[in-house]
Amino acid sequence: MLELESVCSGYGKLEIIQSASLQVPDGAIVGIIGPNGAGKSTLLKTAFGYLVPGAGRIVFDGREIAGRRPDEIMRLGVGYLSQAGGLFAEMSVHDNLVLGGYTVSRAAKRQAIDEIYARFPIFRDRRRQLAGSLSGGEQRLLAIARALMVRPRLLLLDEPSAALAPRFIDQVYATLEALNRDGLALLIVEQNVEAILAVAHRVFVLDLGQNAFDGTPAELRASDRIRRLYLGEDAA
Amino acid sequence: MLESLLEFLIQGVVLGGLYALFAVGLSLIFGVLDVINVAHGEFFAIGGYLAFGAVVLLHLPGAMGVLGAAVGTFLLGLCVYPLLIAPLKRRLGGRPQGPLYLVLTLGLSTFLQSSLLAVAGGDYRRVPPQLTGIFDLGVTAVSYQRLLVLGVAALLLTGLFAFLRFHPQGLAVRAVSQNPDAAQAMGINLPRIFAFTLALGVALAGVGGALMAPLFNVYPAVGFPLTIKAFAITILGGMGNPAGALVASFVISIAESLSVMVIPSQWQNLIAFAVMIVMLLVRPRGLFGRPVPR
Repeated sequence: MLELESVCSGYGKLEIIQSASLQVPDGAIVGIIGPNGAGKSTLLKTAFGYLVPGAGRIVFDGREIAGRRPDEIMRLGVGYLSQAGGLFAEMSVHDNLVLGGYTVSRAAKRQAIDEIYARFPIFRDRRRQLAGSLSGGEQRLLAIARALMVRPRLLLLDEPSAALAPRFIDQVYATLEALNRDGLALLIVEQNVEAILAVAHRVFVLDLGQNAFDGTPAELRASDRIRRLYLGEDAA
Repeated sequence: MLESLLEFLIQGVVLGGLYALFAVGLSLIFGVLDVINVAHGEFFAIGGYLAFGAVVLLHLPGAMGVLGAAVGTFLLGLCVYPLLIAPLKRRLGGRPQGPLYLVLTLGLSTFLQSSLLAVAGGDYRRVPPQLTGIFDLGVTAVSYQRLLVLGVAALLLTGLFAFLRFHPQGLAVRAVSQNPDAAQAMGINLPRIFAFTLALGVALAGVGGALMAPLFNVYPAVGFPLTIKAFAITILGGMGNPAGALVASFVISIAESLSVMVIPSQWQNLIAFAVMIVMLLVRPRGLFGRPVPR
């Protein structure tokens, strides 16, 4: 589905990603973890077109997408959630959902909003409330709900658990797992290692802009070196 | 005394319509593109010249002059983003762009003024009013042309705010103003919204120019003083907040109008700038703006 091959990227002359590769198969949950400054968010932004890679290939469904704008990549079926959620805080919950369906017809938008309200009834009750006035956890769920408006096939998430209370982290991840069961593939950058290892089918560890590990959560847990270096655990 | 107060109040409200047409567009452009468009007044002048061309040279009805000004300045405005701002943005990448945009639009302002001078000459041009006659309000009298300016301004601004509130494209404009990156993730084409917003903003100024052409002489630099005054209005209303600019337009115009009751009229034009300076010192974000980052 999505494949990044030897991608180099960064901000201007500052190269953060120095040849990173990863694959997201159809319907999989893939996690990217690593220390602060490893380039995890930069890699996600590059995959979604916010940053243009200096080298390497990015392929989605057999199509080269490196260098395309985010709105073009989005129209191919890829959703993106930034670390802060990227809500339009000064607009209502309903308007945020309407904007989520910007690229679809009016009828499809109406149907999608009905489905969102059925799945997340809290937003039906609060449809006129400003998005910025929701709690942190509700904002994160609204951002996820908004991304679903166009039925993406792959969702890129940058630290969905950041700054959330534990009960909201559980709620967000339960929602993501449910969406995955419905066929949505997920590529998740996460600092909360336990949360991502509990749900991911495959995990990539990024360090200094390069791949440091690639395997299943079980394989990661079995690697003393990786656990010591990246999970902060003592080797057994 | 009460009669004078009412008279100046009414004159202030009528003037506020023109200020609002002008300043709301300027504020909208700043809010979405983060560009202070110093050339805004030149689109006002172009609107006046287009009305002059349609009504005086082609003998078309006054309404066609206004329509021609709206369409002409909109189309001209559509070219500004892709031809000037986008190339500069590409060259600068992530570096701060604000001061350079200011210089760029100052250059555009001078270029347009010089072009108008070369094409139309420096003579004052006068356009016959779309409406003639005076409406007697008892305490004061207002020309129908001035009431037309107020009426069209009210109509256009109501339409603009309804568009921004309810239409998907209007929501997209507001989304880009609030969070451009997130707007892109919704599938919104940023360059298209930037070009459209700039064209919409300058078209409002163009309509203002066409409506005011019968009341003032049209000449290449006619819009520049209005641009400077609009800066004061947008700072009072909150930079990038069109609704704030709307309110501030009437606050300034009414304050200017009422001021002649207590200060000599030659000081009238200082009101807006005194308000601007006080506002910048006391509350830099204006009446309705977002907090200024420290």
